[in-house]
Amino acid sequence: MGQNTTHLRVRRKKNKVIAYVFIPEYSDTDGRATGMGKTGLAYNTSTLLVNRVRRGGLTACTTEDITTVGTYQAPTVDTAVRFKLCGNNRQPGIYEVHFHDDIFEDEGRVVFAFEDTAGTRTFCPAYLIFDIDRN
Amino acid sequence: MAQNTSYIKVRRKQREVIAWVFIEQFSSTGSGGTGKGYEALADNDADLQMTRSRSGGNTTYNIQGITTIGTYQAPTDGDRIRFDLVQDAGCPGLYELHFHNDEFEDEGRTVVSIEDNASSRRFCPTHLVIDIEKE
Repeated sequence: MGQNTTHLRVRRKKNKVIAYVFIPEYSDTDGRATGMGKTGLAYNTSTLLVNRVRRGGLTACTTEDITTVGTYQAPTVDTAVRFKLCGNNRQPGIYEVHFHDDIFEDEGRVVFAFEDTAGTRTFCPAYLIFDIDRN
Repeated sequence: MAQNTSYIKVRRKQREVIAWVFIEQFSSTGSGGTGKGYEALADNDADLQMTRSRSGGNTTYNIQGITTIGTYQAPTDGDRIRFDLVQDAGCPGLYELHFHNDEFEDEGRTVVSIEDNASSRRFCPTHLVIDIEKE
């Protein structure tokens, strides 16, 4: 929905899913999104929180690094995602995310939420919503 | 449609449909959306209005709550919808919707609009466009 939300369709049992999410930069100066993308986030940024929501409820995900952008690397468990900035200069705010294969075992809808837990917010919440279709 | 619009596809006669929408906070200065999520809505909010538009006309939903996020709970009839905030922390502005099975009896397009009727607007209008495809 707008800059905060990205919708994707994925076939059930698809493997090695890579997706891209735009994280909007937030300005505490005027209390609004700036229109720019947030740069500088990494998998181990302490204020980055990733949650997964689907039928069954909400799960907090751990974040792991991506060695090479564009080369799929399986997260170590299905409650983890791999996360890395694509490129500061030409793609500000675009992050690559690698998902565990088990996420796509069944039909349904899955939401991944990327949230800034800092008291002084530096980016807006961003959502990646997967519609998982039958084979 | 505008930036606060989300598109999903559902198969005809699909049962127990759950969806999620992001509701963006509106700027108190009247200058549009802030990019942040609006977190303070409940199913019994006096100024929350949800409308369904589809071939045949518009219907104002009667809004019901959700007991457990992620666990489908049927609305009590076809003109009702269930609505609740997923979680304050980690998913700001993300709301879960449960639809009555009758919504998906026929192919076509349904638009669900979420609107603030308060004179001092708190959140941006939000739309969920549902394409109901053949089984």
